[in-house]
Amino acid sequence: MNSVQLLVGSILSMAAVSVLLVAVVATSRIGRLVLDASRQAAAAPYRGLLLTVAAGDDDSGAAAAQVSAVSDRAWSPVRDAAVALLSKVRGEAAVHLVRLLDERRELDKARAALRSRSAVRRARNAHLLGLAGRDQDVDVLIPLLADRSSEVRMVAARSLGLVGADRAAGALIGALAPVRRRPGIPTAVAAEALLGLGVRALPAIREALTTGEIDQRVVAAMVAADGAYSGVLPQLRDRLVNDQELDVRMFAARAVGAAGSRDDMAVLATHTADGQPAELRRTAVAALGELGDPSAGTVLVQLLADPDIRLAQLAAEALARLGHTGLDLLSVVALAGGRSGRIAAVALSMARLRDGAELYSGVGS
Amino acid sequence: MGSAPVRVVIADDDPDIRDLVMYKLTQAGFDVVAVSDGASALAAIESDPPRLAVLDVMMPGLSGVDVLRRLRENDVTREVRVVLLTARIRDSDVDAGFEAGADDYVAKPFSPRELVHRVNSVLARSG
Amino acid sequence: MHDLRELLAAVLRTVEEPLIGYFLLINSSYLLLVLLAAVSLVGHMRRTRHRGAAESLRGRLAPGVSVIMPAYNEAAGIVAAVQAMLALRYPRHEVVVVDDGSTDDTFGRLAAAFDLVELDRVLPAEVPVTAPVHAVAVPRDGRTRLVVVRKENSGKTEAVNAGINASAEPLVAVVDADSLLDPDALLTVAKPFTDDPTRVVATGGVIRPANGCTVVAGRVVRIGMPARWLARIQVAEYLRAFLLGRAGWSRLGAVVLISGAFGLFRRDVLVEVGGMRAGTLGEDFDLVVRMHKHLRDQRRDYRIVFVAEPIAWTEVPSTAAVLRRQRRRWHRGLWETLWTYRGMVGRRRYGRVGTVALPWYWLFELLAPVLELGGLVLVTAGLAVGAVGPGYVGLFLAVAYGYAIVLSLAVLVIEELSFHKYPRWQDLAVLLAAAVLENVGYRQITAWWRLEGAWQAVTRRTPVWGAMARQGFTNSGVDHG
Repeated sequence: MNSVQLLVGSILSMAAVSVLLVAVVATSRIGRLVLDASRQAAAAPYRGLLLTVAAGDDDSGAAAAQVSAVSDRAWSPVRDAAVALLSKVRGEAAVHLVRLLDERRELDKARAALRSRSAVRRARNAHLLGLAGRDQDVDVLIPLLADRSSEVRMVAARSLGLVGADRAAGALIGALAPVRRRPGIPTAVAAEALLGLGVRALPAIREALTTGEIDQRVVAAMVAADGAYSGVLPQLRDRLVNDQELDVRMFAARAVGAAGSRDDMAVLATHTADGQPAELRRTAVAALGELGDPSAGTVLVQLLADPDIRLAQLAAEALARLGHTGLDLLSVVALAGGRSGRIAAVALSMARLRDGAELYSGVGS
Repeated sequence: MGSAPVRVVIADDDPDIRDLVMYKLTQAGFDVVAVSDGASALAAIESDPPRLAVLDVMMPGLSGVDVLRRLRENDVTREVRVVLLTARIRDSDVDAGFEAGADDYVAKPFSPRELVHRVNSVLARSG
Repeated sequence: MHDLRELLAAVLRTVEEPLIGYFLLINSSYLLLVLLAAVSLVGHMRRTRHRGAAESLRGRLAPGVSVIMPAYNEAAGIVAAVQAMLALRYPRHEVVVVDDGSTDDTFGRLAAAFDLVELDRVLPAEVPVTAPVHAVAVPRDGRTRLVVVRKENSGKTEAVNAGINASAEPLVAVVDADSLLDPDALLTVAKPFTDDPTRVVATGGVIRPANGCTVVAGRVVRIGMPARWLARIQVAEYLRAFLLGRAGWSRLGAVVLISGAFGLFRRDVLVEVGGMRAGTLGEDFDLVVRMHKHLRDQRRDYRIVFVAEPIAWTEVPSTAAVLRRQRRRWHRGLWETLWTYRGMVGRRRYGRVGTVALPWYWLFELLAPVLELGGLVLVTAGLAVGAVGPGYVGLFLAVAYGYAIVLSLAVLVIEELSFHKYPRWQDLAVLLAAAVLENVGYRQITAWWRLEGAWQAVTRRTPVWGAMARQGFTNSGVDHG
């Protein structure tokens, strides 16, 4: 009798739960559709005005004043639409959208919400302040780089990059260091933000290259490489030769290739030598191509026979970037055949394909 | 400008950007047709070639560059001026766009005012 | 007759409680994973707006990705697939197609569509490839980032390895030639690599059946339910398995399976572990478990992450014959991998992978068909000869299948609250019905096929490749299913 009761009980409760779950699916869909429709309906009358603002045509601020006068209920969807538009425009259009948000004190609210207990709210509002791009918010965003939530730290860094104030550079580099067992912000995030600051970040980058921790030196070299900052060349050369950390040396090599002059050919060539770490050699070879100095030709030609096939291929691609000297050298090696010849021939035909010339007849089988 | 407004087709899968570009170009006096994907863009352009098209590079189905290539292969649409709109900023992508025959390039996030200037100068150049 | 009855009654008396217990445990463990996944999904949904996906698209420092597509006789859809891969939103990626000795016009179609030129390229032998590589070809414009490698047929694992050798970027995405990726798929799965660059070594995303969806130029443009119940049930099955099972494992830090249909890996780690293992049937499962073993053996701090977003679509079998081959192959692969890495089970050095995930797969994936079918046969026979009463049968069915139906419905609730990808009411109703119907017939027949796979694995050595009859996704607007 007991087992029958158990059976009936369990079947009934499962059936009840199933019906409940189906009902939840249906009501949540209806609820979502109704809510979406009502939000859309509430925002629709203001779409035209919002576009005027988002197009940067609201010089007088009249459209912003009209939109911001909406009821609280309508404002919520209008605000979300305005924030969505803000992430897609720049220039005067962004300025006008920010003015609209400011009329409803959204940015003040966002600043206040940075002290919220919820990490998601802090992150969301830091993101909004980043999109708004106002210089005065930099000082409230910088402390968030030490937030207890890694997500908030990351969003704060991205936002500082969007605002692009130079005084954030030092703080961004500082935020790479772990604080109280919390990891620092990811290197790529810091580097991306620093690139957003442009050359104004140069003093901080110079300092990081000279005195920073490993991650800070990596990021500084990463930024210098991507931005081709020649202002820090002496420091980059020093890191390439002397740094203890392989990653720093690799990014320094790349940066020297991007920002350097013909004087840097020799130092890069040294790092392509057998005995250096494989990854550093490959990076240095690619950097020689980036540098584009024809005098690197002799070194690169020798590397075509290197046992490391990838290195040999990179050397061939680098040669193809050295102008006539490099292409002539490649042609000579290609004619000689063998593995080096094949590698040279491939780089040569790729170069010709890129230049739209006819397919080099000596290649392919 | 002449009497009839100049026809422009814009294609972007993001409704915000589509609305914004449409609004801005309409304000600037163009006759604008907006579509949301590459295939519709091609259909709209081929059925009645406009003077100019603003194409988003990243669209579902045919990309803006794909549409552009097909326009250049077709005698009827070869002369349509094209401004590409894209979030990609790598030099190689810009190259690919110009090689396919783009007349100009606007990076997202974009300035609507600048877009109108670009459109006008492309049209002025093509006479 | 009397003896048989006595025997059955004795057997049933011994197993009736463990049997019920097993099904309670399997379904409860699923419930736990469902809840874990729900928790991470809530956090995920709240972060949609500020996650910074748009920013990473502009990112100049995003790590480059090589998308590797092994292709064997895929002429029907290969050109559209490659075009779609090239058009993915990502700042820096190349596509490497490996034509695994196709006997149809796969290469010819590619050569014509992309104006390919052959190059006499030397491929480094960083991961093992035994079959000869015939040629490497690139588009004549010299700029489109496509590389096509032609090699002698030697199976998918080697094709992927050849692709790894031919690839140039630090991250490698392995996709099936018929996988349909959403435009933001690469951005989504690459994000963990940017956010935690030193630790993340592999990521995967959620895959859903493409049957019934409208596909234009290699992209899913409208989501719908397939026309056949066999495929419809697989939609419910995939939802549960992927969205929740694996999102749940990700939260536990013990993802052991990234689907071969779409996964992203750090290239240097792939090279360290020797790439795909030749001849394996469950090569995707094998690879991830091997990565865990290698990295744990070296005591490295690493993460394998599962991204909850549905981003890839794949055509699932729409006939019983093909489904049977697939499930046999899957189960055989599961057995091979679990057996190969049996030494990891229970070892604390392998963390939750060794102490939780792998034992779970042994108990609830590998053994499930045996216990499920065994239980069914036993209970039915017992009922027939009167050894058990209808009460026990009812309880067995309720715990085994009733509970499973509740779980499937809970999964649909979470899908509706999070991604709600099926917009039509009709599709939703079909999905709800499929979640229930899965447990009536489908589960039992696939359990039988899985048992066949296990039997093959134990008795035969030569792997049999299940061919999948592809319909191709070339016709725009055509409903598959």
